[in-house]
Amino acid sequence: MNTTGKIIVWVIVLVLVIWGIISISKNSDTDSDTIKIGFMGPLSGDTANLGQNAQAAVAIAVDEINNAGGVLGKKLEVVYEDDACNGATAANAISKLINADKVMAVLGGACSGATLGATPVAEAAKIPQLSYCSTNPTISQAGDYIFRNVPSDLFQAKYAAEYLIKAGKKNVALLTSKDDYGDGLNKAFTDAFTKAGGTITLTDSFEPSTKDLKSQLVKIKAKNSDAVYFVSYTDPAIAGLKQARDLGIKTQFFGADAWDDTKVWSELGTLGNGAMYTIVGSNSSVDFKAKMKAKLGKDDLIYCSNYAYDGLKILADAITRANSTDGTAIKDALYKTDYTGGVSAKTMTFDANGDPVSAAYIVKVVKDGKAAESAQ
Amino acid sequence: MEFFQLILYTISTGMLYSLLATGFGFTLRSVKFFNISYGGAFLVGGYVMFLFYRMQNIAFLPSLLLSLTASGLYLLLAYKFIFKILIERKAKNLVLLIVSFGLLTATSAILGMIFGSQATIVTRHLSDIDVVNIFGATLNTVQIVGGLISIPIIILSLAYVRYKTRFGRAVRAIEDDSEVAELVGIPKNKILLKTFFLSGMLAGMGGILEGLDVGIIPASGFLYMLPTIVAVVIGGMQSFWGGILGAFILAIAQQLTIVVFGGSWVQAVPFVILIIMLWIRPEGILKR
Amino acid sequence: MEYIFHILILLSIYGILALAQNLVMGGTGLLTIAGAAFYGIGAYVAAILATKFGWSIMAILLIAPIIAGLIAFLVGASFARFRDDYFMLATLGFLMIFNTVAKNWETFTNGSFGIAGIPKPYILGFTLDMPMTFVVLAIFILIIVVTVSYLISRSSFGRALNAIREDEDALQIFGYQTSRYKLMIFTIGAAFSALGGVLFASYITFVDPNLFTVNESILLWAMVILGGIGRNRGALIGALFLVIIPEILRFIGFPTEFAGLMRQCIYGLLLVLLMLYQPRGILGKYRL
Repeated sequence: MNTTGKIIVWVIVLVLVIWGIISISKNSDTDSDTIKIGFMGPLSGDTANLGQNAQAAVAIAVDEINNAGGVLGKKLEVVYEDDACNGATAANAISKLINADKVMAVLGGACSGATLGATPVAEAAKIPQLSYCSTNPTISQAGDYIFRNVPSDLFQAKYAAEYLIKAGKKNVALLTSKDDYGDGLNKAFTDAFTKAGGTITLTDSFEPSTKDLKSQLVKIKAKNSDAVYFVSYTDPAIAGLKQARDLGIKTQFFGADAWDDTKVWSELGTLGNGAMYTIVGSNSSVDFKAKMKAKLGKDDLIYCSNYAYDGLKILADAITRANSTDGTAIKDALYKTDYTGGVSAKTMTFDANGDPVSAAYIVKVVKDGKAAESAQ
Repeated sequence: MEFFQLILYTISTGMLYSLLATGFGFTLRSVKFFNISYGGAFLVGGYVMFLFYRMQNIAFLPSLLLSLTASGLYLLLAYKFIFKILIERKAKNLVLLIVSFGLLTATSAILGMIFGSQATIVTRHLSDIDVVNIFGATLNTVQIVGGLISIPIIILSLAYVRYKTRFGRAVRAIEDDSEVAELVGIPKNKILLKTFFLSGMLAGMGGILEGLDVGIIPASGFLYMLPTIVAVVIGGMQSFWGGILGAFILAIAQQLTIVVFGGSWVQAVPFVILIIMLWIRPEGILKR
Repeated sequence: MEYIFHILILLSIYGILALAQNLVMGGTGLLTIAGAAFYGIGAYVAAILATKFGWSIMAILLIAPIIAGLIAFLVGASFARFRDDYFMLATLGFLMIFNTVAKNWETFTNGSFGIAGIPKPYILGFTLDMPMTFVVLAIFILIIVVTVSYLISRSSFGRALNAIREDEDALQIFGYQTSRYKLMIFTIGAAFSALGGVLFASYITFVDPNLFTVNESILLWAMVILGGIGRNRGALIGALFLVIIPEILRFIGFPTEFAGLMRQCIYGLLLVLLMLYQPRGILGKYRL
């Protein structure tokens, strides 16, 4: 590149830098006429579907709040950031939200790894953080300012274990994804299931990004199990269940909350028939579902979005009750939350760890591309 | 019973890797660098097939042809506008490697923005893919038609082209010594363009097969390059059949690992083998 | 403003990593993907020693480079005879194996859960827990690394390294044991990368296996090549650009879903375009 080329490059860089500085300074003018909340979610990567769905739900919540008068008389504004389901990116994102955008609370993340990366920043800055989907048990101890409105995986695994035992499935094979979600449920389930008197016939795992579970499934087919506890996110679920069908495995496949993604069952069609999974009973109204459909242009409601929607409203409610934009005051108000009428759960209160006090799980069963609550 | 099933799966995986390794070998031997953007052609093939077959609902065969042309074109254009220039500048291999890496990264990112980062499944309805029973074990139709039937036919055709046609002789001449080949009148540029196109088509075919069987994600481009490279290095880079040999060795090793150690270690297998091979016999098993 | 300190800390960390990468790549023309691996090793060593054994970060800053250096020495010695592309493949293998081990060796690394709660550095009675104070340590380490890198480039050791990059064969004829030089700089580079890793671990207070991927390495390559290989200043400028520009993009209001992918795309394109049109990078004295 010759000198003209170099000059062009430097000019572009200069323009970008100046533009950036102007944007930054515009941002940090303490906008005293809006209430800002930060949102973090996986908007890119393997779990992008989940994050984008949650983002839509939050947008709906924001509109509703603003149409009803806003928060503390001011307009509510949400700043969205991508955490890529990754701890370091989340730490970066939450740092920007807190320090540059000056949000007074953060709704996020979804993936436990991302949330855990962000919590130290929130805790140090004394800004309350409410996760709408992270179920890793360690989050309970993450800090005074850290909350979540989803229950820890310990409960989900216990519920699944007891359900299976009651259904007479005493020998279960475990197939879980090799990430914090799968590993967490694997441990919790193994503990709960063996304590309830069951036997684990086999335990195997797979890389979250792989779509080839054939060999693991062959091993499972060889062991006669009553059920397979198969924990994964969307893509491996689709691939795994298809491959299981190919192999002619007739055992009961039992999954966890990540299976509540409409994409899984619409792709599998009849292949998914009979699969079951646990999910926290949601209070999702037809009304809310319709709004999501309107916003996304398709019938797609991923379970986390219920929590995200409620989560935003809970934060707004806490700010109102605290009557302050100070992080500590909001945090105190959060501990006193008694939220009713949400779409994820009928009531929401937090315990001393910032975890939800109760968790009522249900089991959904799949038929012809759709999942519905099974008659207990 | 399960043992036979595992064998069938290993063959199926081995076939896929063979296809990819053979295609990769073409450009490796001709221009002598590791063309990582081969993974990009893999992605282009799969995603374009998705676009035509599933999104636009065009029939299977026309979609297939269009997608293969697209992936072939991708690699051809990459050669024409990027690699050729660098090669003529006598750029070092490392430069070409870095550039091909960059191209793959950019391609994955762009495809990710268009199609999303989650699995893109090319098949219209997964329930449409039937299963065939072979002596008690099963394979689905994609694996059979694609893996067991088409790939061997493709590979044998390639072998025929390579050893029995003028084009093939020209390719071998260039692999041997490109300068001398040019001296004796072989149109090096034209041949290389065709080689890259062919290579791209093979990668695209791989992408389409995987897209039909399990679905692809933008990261698949890079993910599938890894076993491809390992297969070629193990089997012997200078040999046409080497890639195939390496492919099967790798497939068997991966299968054994899952059976013995469990699925979480399988990611490391290609690399352990690779490093061992680089230590004891970097040229690979087959010399020619 | 807190945010500016945050950016400065990121700049320091990446500056250190880019310098380390430049030392190895620019010094010898060795293409290494292991940069991310040693960065990861540094971070994990910090995480484990701090949380499980209660070491102080300051002590870890001294020991982590030594551990990383030892590992690098062993790894490098095994790979020393590999040339160019094979070396790169071997380092890629090393990174993937490291990633797999981190995920599976649960007793040590907590597997996929990662290790949380890494403490901030404690020095002379002060805990550096605010970005404002942490940045002082980060910049201090950066200055040390810059100084050492500078001294290396100026020394006869450094000159020999440059010569190896330009023409290794010639040097061997002159009697230089080039693989020893390569090994030394590989070890030093690893030690510096580990320093970056320790800072990172302490700042973000959380590490997990996913932080260490090939994408990080590509980012580092892009930084070094953009800035200009072979020049320490170049590595710093490359780091500056590639940390600041994405942050600016964040503010300009780029649709957040694409931010990550856009960044990938830019890195990829940068590598391609730079190698085609400006192989010397911004400041470079040398080209690969």
